[in-house]
Amino acid sequence: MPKYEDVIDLYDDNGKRIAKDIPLEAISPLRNEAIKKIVSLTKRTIAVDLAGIEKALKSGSVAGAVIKGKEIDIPLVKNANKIAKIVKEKIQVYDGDGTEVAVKGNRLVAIVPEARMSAGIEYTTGFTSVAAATTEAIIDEFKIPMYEANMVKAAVWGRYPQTINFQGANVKSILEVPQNNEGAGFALRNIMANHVVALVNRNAMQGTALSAIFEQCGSYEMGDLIGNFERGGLLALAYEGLNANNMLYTLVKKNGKTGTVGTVIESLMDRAITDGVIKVKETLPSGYKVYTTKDLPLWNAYAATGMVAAVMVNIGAARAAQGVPGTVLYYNDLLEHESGLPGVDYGRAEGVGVGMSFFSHSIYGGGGPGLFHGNHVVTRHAKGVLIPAVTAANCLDGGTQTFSAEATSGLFKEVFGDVEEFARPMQCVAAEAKKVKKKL
Amino acid sequence: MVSNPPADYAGVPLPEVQIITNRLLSAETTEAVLNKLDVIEGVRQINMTGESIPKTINSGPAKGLPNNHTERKVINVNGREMELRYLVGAFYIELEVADEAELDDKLEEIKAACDSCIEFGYVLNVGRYSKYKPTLHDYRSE
Amino acid sequence: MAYKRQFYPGDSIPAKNRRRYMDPKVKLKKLRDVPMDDVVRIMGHRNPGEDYKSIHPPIEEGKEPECPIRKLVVPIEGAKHGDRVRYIQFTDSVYFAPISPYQRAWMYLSRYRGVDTGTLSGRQIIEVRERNLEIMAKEMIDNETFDPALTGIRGATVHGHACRLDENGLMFDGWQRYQWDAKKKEVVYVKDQVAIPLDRKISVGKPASQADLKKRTTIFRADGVDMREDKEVTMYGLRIHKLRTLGGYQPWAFKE
Repeated sequence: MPKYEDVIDLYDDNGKRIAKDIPLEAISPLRNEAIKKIVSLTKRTIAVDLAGIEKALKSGSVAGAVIKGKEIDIPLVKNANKIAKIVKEKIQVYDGDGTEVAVKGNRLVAIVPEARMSAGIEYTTGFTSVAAATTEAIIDEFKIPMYEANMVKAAVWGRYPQTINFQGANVKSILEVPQNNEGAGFALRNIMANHVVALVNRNAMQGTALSAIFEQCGSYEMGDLIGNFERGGLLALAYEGLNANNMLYTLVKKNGKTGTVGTVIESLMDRAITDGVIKVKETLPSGYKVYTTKDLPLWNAYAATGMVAAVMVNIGAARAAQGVPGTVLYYNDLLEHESGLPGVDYGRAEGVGVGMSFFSHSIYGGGGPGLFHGNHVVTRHAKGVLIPAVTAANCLDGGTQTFSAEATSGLFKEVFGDVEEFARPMQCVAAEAKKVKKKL
Repeated sequence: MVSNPPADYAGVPLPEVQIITNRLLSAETTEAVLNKLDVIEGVRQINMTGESIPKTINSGPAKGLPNNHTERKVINVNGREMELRYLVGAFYIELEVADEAELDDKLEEIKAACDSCIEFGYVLNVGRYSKYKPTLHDYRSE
Repeated sequence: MAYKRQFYPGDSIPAKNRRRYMDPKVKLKKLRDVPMDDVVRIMGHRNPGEDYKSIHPPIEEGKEPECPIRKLVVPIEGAKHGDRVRYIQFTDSVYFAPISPYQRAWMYLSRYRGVDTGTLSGRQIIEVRERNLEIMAKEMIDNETFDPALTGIRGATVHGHACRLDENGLMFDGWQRYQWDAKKKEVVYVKDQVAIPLDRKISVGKPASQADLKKRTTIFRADGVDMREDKEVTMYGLRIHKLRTLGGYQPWAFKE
């Protein structure tokens, strides 16, 4: 028996139906294998920059310092395959446990086995295992003497543990160290919008989906989607992230050519009334109709979908990501004035829009919207629903941003580029949802 | 930080007339008001405030260019020249009076002076609005 | 069913004006005609006649990243050409200016696409691709949301929206970008929006009377229409406050 009565149809990024009559639970990160795979690979996939290590060792320039007389000249890139093999041997627990180490250009991309993750508590296992294995592999393979081995450690791990994070490391994870998280359960919210943009190759629908998945998984982990709150989070994930009932795509299609944020609101109200989500509570003397709903979480999911659609229309028309905080802010305010019902995340998205406008427009230092993630002091409040809109905007940028995804996140595109779950999460989640449906 | 009072301490806290104008005054009007107030006997000092007008553009791409604000200019108050730095919107007039009856007389004179020059009206209050004798801070800072 | 937007509650004059300005079907009255070249001069981003500078290569169909949304959403002209994003910023006086900064944002996002706008205490900036910005800026200067005396075009040092007016009824500007022409009874711009002197004066016309402005304004004021007098507007504020609170607490339990 499904836990919730809600049933949705899932549509892909082109507005084509790919899964029919899916129970809401089937897209839950707790049930859906595609989402689980995304989460699992996010913490298990680690990149090793062999060229970077080679250069650091050759110049003695490690972890932000130059140490003369301790240079080591070894051909790492040339021996990439050999190092990959050794690293794999070191991190593998048993044959066929899912360990992978591949050579991609001047890099190694390592996937740490689940067995290591489940024998520990922290997701940093991914990073630490690969960093340690790489250090060992280099020392062993090139017979580095004891008094030079510390240089190898510094070239691989960076300055850590003098620093909180792995500053200057040539091993990279898409996740930050836990110490940099705003609070409990923020790990998956600490992924920059630009990283997601790079992972989905600037496909705004897929970017919205992947960000929504990361954010809502974060919501579970933060303790936000437990019990009565779960349905609201899943509805938002379904409609805003996974184009449930093709609402997001239709809203954008209807308003793509000539529409504004205002017309998106008009279309959304129309849809919400037609679907019976909201109805008129009373008509005031001026003729203004106050709307009400019996299902606030569902209205919130509709509002969140409208928010992403408004961003896609307004920012899409500008092909300039900078307007996303303003669009989020005024979309919500206009929607509240239009309906008499609260905006996305019950006012929190609007509040975030105010702060984020300030922080992303050089009034308070530099930085564009692409650098934002759900772990930021101004964005953390609108959990689950805000960052997908930011990602959508950054996907649609035509080249106006100094901090573009290409500039900040090219590495992760290379690392995760051929993993289907990251490039096309909508299709993968829908396919798995069909399987869950059969079990329910 | 408030610095030393502009005039020496009179020995007692003298009353001060505060005039807040409904509109910010042009340099010409300010000059006219001052010339009328200045001749009233018993006026010990007049301080003014308003919205600041910078001499040069103080930020942005035009930073450093002369501001050339038409109202930032030298006015003449009964033969004394002074440079305005504000679009004036308030006057503080300290009065040297012996008793309330004398104060009332002076107020009438001040009102008459203001009425004749301040076209858009003003609000007048009597009290003490500014520092009238040096404090420990001024002593320390000297 | 085709839903029609209702924009804003209320029966008072400011409430009605708010709805008018937001409704894209209402063609706003054109009160003056400042030549486009002069609008360009006042903004100061380029010289009239000069080519638009670009920040990225032109957008060509089929050469964009593979994204269904890019196929659905048509870029505005300036985006197609890769124009820079430039701005115009208005300051609106609290003394019954025709519109106030916050309603500008509502209006912009209801009437235009491809815009980035932000409201600060007394000013409202709008950032758009340059050639689209120029068209918008001219409309905003020409139409009824602009008053020569009570609306300022100010890129920096916007101080003045809450200051007393000067004796000519003009909003205070420490940089005096515009002056009162006593002979013509008109307001003339002598500096661009960041106070670089203009080659020649640009007239933006005669200010409206206070009586007229009180009919046109979106501003609620105790000495005009007090917001508390408009019961619908007050109700709206209380309602949203309540629903946000209840939604933030237990959204599933909400009933009314």
